[in-house]
Amino acid sequence: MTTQRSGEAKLRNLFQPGTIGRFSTPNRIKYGACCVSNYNTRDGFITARELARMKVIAQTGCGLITNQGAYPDPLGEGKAYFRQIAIYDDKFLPQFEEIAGYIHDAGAIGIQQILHAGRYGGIDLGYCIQPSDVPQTLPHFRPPRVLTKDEIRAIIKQHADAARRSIKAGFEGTEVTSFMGYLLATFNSKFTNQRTDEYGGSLQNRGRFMRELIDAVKQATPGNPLVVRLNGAELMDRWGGNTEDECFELMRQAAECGADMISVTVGWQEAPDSSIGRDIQPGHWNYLAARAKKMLPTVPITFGVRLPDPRMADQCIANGEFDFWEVCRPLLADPELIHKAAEDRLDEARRCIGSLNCLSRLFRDLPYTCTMNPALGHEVEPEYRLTPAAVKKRVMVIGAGPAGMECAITAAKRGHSVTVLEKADRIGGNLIGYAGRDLARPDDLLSIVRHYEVMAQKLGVELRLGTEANAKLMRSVLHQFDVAVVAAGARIDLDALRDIEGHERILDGLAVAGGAIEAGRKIVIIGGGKVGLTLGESLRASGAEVTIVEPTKRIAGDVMPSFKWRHTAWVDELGITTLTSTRVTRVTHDGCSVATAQGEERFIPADTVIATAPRRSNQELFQEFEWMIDELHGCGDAIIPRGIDAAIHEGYRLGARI
Amino acid sequence: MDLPANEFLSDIAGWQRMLDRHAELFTELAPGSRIGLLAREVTGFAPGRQPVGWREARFGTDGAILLVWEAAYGRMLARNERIGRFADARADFLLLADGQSLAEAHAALETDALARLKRRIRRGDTMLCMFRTRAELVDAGYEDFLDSLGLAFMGACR
Repeated sequence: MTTQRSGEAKLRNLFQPGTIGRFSTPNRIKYGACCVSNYNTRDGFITARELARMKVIAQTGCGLITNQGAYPDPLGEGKAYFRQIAIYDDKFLPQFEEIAGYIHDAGAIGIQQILHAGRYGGIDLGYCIQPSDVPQTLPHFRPPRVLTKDEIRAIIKQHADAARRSIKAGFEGTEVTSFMGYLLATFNSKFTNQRTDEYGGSLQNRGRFMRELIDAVKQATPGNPLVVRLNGAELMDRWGGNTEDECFELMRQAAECGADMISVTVGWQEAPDSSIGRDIQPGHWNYLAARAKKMLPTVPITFGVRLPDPRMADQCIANGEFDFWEVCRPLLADPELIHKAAEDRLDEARRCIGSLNCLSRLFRDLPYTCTMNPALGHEVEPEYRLTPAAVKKRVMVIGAGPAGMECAITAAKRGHSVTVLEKADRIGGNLIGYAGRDLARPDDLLSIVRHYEVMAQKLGVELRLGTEANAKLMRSVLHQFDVAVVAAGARIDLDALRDIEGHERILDGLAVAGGAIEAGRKIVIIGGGKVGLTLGESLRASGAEVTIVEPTKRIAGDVMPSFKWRHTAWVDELGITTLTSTRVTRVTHDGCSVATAQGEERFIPADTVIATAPRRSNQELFQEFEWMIDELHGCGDAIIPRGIDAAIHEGYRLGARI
Repeated sequence: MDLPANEFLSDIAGWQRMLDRHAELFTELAPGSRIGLLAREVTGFAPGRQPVGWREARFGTDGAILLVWEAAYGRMLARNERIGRFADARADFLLLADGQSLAEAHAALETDALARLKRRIRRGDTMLCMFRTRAELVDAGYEDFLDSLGLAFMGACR
């Protein structure tokens, strides 16, 4: 009998045993295959990189673990990502067996997802397959080809064969995805299914393909549970998609047909609304799970869309809203999250901040990575593992922004003695001002700072706040440190604006963002990147008139692809004027003159002109300290101004090798 | 069919001024790149419904007025073509705008027509019909324009 850990008693609903089919799970946590990792080979084989990642995932502490979606057909019509795994042949099985072994070794139940992407598939082909000839509304995807009934039957058989193969590899169950606009979803939805045969028309007919597929999988693997992922909401109503009522009717069909668990999901790739970004309040979609549970009280319901906190999940289970917490991205951000919850150490958790770096990368056809977890995808590389330092060093980190703090806590974990010098009176660097201005969810970004505060304290990192690093200070501590890390971030380069007449009137955007300077009511912001946009949106939301002047062709050029749309939508919604391909040429007491690339000039009345670009790295200390310390390193924006991802990743990598 | 929408689509001078004002979005386009704007009403497309065999389906006896934006001579040129079916549009992608979207965009030709079209796309009033993949469109130089329409990364995965 294992001893109950302190956090398990607090979150007893989450940590109680569960059931799926004939199998018992040690807790009510399901690792959801939220994304394809894109770590594998172009022809569908699982790589050593993937195996190493899955070994980590197997050890997350989840009772039920879903392996990422594999396409079931040899042509690759179901293949959505270039480096997606395949399961259409036994030749792929050895690595699946290995993953199933990792899951069992960790005491969990393994589920293999079968993912036929349908409308979003055929990535190596010149077409995708669909129930009807419905044109693509996004440029990511290929033109459709309509399935014949013979092809429908063949696809159902491919799914059944893939399920049989999954069980042969050692997984206890399988999962099929009928959401997001993948193949099953396109049959279910009236947006994409306009067939006139028995597979189209009424809801009963549209659901026929799903029911036949469930039936075939169940016949192929009679003793093994099948999870069906279904939309609670497609968010496609405006495009003629299913209503929520229709979605729930399809859920009922799936359950009646023998689905052993329903995973409730939200949205399609093409949906005009967001479902999991930072702008969505955690818990927003819980009502969908609750409705499913109420409708299907005897079928296990699993859910986790925009529900990142185990405490919230525990409460939902207690309320009877769902049976299993389905979690993925929070575990990409912190694979130790469940153990920290179980040990009542949630204050140490690294939160998924919803930046969706993972999806941004996938949509650029790259392997996914995580802003908060620099080791994700690098588990196979010894260089990313934290090993005790061979020589314990005294490390001075200059700057307590994300790069400096990440480096500090990583180095401290390895046994180094670390001191952080920060000229401000708190840690966080420029992130503090930026996060405070964020219209989405400031708390997500500020959780990064709180994490560093907690970890610095727990790891004994000394924080010298209100301390500016300079040559004089360095001379005073000569020989007290072995290593200096310059992580002093970047500043607004006001010097670069000296050619503008009246430049002395221009305010520093970071000072305004941080509250050191107050802006007026008619504001011109120089720079339409993330700093300028975030500041402009915040000032506009508080009632100021805002014009953003951007010298390049586009605003949001340095914003994560997954969040670009959000900024451009806010700019529209808030009524912010943006002038692209435009430069400020003169600043006066009552406004500024701007000129377009075509040479057209105009005057914009304003009481405040704020610069948020260009940014310049704070690199002066590199030269000053070069002959004053044994080792001198740099990381983050002090090297090149970028953003939080580069800061955290570089800080980690440096801390891991000092 | 004599739709009020045709008036909006036929205001070539107005659309040309709008395109010229946004010339920077089209500077990378390969010559011959084409975007088409059609009144949704004549196409038979509605949310969740399109004509069977829509590519080859005819738009009625008079056909439809297509507003074409075509990259040529280093700029994006507006002109009208009368087409009988989708296949005749030879566009990289089509914007199928309902009457309100067209009226709103047309009224904003001197100000923010593109922003209004973008908003209407998000609402589902203007439907997109893509004939090229993202890679093909990026190769043809569409990235700036797609980005400005907020299309580069739509979807629920946000």
